[in-house]
Amino acid sequence: MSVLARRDRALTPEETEALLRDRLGDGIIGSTLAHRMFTVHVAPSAWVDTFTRCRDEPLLDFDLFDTLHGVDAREDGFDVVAILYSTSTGNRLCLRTRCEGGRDTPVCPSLNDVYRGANWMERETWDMFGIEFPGHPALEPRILTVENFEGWPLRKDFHLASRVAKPWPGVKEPAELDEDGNVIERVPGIGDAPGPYVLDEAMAAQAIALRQVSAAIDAAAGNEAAVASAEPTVSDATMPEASAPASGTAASTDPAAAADAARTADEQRRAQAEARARKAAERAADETPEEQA
Amino acid sequence: MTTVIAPVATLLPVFAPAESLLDTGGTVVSLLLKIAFITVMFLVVPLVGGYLEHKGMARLQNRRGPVEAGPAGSLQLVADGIKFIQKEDIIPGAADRKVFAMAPAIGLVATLLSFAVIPLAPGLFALDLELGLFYVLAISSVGVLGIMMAGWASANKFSLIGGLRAAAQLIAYELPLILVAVAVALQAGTLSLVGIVEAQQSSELFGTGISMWYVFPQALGFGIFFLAALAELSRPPFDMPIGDSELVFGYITEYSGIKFAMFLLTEYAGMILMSGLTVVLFLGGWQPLPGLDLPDGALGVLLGAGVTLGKIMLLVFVMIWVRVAYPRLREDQLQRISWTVLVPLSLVNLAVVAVGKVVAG
Amino acid sequence: MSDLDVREQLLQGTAPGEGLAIELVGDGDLVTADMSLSIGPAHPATHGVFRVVFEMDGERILRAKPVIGYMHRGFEKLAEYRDYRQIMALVNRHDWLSGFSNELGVALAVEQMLEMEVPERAQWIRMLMAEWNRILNHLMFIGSFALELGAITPMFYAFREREDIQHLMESATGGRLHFTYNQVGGVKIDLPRGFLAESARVSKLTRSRMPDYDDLVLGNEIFRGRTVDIGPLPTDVALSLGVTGPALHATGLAEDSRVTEPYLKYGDIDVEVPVGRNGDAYDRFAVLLGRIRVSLDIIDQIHDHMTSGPVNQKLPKMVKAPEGATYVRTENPLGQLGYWLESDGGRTPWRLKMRTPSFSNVQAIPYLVQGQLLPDAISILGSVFFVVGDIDR
Repeated sequence: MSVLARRDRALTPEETEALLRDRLGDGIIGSTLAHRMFTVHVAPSAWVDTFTRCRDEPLLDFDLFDTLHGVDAREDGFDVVAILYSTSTGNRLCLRTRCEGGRDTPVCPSLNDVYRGANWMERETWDMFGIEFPGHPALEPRILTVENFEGWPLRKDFHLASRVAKPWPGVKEPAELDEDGNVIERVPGIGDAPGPYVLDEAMAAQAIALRQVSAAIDAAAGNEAAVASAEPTVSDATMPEASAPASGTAASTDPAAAADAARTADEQRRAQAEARARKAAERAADETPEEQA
Repeated sequence: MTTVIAPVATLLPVFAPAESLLDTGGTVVSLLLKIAFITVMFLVVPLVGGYLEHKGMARLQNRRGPVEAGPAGSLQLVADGIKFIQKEDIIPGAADRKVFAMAPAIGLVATLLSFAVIPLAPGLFALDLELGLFYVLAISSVGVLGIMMAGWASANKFSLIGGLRAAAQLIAYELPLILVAVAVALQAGTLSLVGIVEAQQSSELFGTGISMWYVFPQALGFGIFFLAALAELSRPPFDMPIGDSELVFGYITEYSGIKFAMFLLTEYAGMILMSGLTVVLFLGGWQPLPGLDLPDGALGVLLGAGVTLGKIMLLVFVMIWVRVAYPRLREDQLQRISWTVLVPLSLVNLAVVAVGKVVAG
Repeated sequence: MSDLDVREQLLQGTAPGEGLAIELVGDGDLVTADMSLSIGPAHPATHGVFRVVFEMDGERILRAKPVIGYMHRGFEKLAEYRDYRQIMALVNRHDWLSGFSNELGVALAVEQMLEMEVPERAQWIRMLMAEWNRILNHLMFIGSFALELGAITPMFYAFREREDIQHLMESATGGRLHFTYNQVGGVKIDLPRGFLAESARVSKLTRSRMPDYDDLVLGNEIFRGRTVDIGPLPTDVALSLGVTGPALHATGLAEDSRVTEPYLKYGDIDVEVPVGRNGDAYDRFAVLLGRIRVSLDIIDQIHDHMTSGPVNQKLPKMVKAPEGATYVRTENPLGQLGYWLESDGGRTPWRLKMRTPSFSNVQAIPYLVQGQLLPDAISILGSVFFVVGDIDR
């Protein structure tokens, strides 16, 4: 059968609901149409029948089992949401039910016999929310989490471990904004975990110190080009205040300096090699006492 | 019985082994020369083949291949060998240690022994056996024993399946290989490999006076032999015993270090051996072109060795080419090709050659 | 204890390392037993940490059980702790071969909830990038599927093309895998100068190289022998399992949301959907190749349609989706990607369900490999086209 063969005979949301109400009576609790999605709320007792109808009713013909998942419904327990799609009419239907058993023992009938694809989806929902699906062949072992995992990770009372251990580093945490959406400037206090910005500053300071040392050595060796090229790199890579000295950039673009550099290229290379050798010797001299100690 | 065989036996020429140039300067020197010859054939020539595989494959695949080790990466395999020697030799806890250790050696020795009878040039060979062809085919099929031992002793399911596949493959492909070789022996009238090369030099195309190699009248046989050789070596597209996407690395999965290197060396040496055999049986051995003879003396020997090695490398390149171009077959497809296509065809080939031999005289 | 004793114990299964050893079955003649063979979690054929346990009789597979979750990173939970801007950087990681298409789904979902109009140019740019991303993804699978059948060369050919396309996408987005180029209301930044000309050049180049794959892989006799009629999937089973994308098209059903439920500007251009005959491994691969050509056609059409104008919306400092739920489905390279977004009106989503194509498609593996030979099972595993991160999330 070709795709969208019965597009012109597709039922409207109202007709779909009327048809389902006709077939299932009180099993259909209500419906909502919001954000371009049509949702039918189903009683748990009519859950499996609704899907069987949706699949077998020629006017509905929902053949593609799209997805099934849980949603935390706060103190009311948990919802199970499933989405069906019809490849012949192009309709999409969202079915939603509230699990029986509240937050403690949520239970929802299994769709495994209606759609093959429900098997893993229900296993995942059990793994994430702890919703039992009577009639499912085997919810265990846990499909996504490790076998000995404790708790139901997608429930709202299961807190993200890394957020319990330390607050969101820096000012990017959504919770750090006021009601108008303005960022609340936050200065890390003592005991707050160091954010990446603190580390960045320390690293930047280190990098600047290193660059300055090597630039000094190059300058001693008469290599102005190297000094010139070192300066802007520091400013780009690290701190904004380091970009102030712009003299290096000017030197590198000066034609006279460039010509001079080209003329004495050999000498510079030799000087560089000497500087390198000197540095190596210094380093060796630094390390030797440590080794002896 | 003897009354039947005796008159036939008198028809056959008495076998006089060709004289090897390596038989000089007494027993000890001659022995050392022969050992050196086999070692070069076993250790150096496969390295060249391996380098060809590295570079050839890379070029065919839009890559550069090894470039760092040695000039143009030519020492890559040597570097690999040194690396393998340094690596830890891991033996799985559940493995059958003795068999596990023996397995790589068996394949290696089988290939090593086979090189004794492959002639490179007139006089350049270690041995000229009257049953040279028989000897090579018999010894080289011992190698699969090592593969089966490796598969069993590793105590690994992937290895076991790989070993069994190798055994099944050997049984299926040994038959067409031998039947085709028999046809060559029939046409040459000898089983000596040197004799077969010499017979090709003096052979004429259907009595027209045009010189030819056996590849021309037995093109079918040549194809079957090459295909069967690929299967026997477990080279792609017949590399099911190794099949890295299915069996991780088949019977070699658990091997590491020097033992792994031995398997690797055996594979490359096997490529050289089978190519060498194909050159001897079908491509006129050391003869540069049909009807074109080598000059006498040392120059001829050198040229002959070059020609043989060149032909070997050409065939090795074809093996690499096939590897680059084709996916892997399935085990049952391979068996079907062997039993329903290759075996009947090689029998036809044998019959045609036999009839031709009788008709031609 | 000698090694021999250890071995004896291992064989009897009393020492640690049980399961490594080959079980000895009976001591009579020709006693056989089923063997269980675990492919993965680290096996060359699974390209990722994915595991299938085969119960086998010789080389024939009696039952298969996929074991997933080795790469579960809890994206759905993480998304509940991030605002809509940050989620963009999260979702392009579950299917790491189609980062752009993943971001697109979330952006569309939030826009749908906000009922936001996205500038026209932004929509065309999104389509252009999504199609290039699709080609990137498909080229990867063309290489890897051939590799699983033992052909090593197509991988290198595919990477030649991939490199060109990645350079192209990098020039606009700055990323190679995780583009983070979408944002709610458009794309982050306009295309660089000369991008469309370069895009047209790469499109032409890629098209001119497509016959290579036809010759090297699709027309290869051994490839045909290994894939034709291997692992056929009937359409109704595929739909019941939720299988979508190339695997569904191969069964002969042209269910592609670019055609059936056009999003962005797909309704304004011609999108052809290549379909197969009976859903076997060969068809799945042929459909994949066909989709690359279709994507190239689409890219050429986009070049003609591209308009000028702004590429994003001015957003408030904090995007908040209104209360309610929505579901957005896009045609990801591997199949239908659905994002269920439920919001309580806050800064972060209340629930973001990722309905990933790989998860549903992999569910078909037990059905497909039952009764097949081990090499065919590898051929099927390769032809279902999944990304492990996309299964486990």
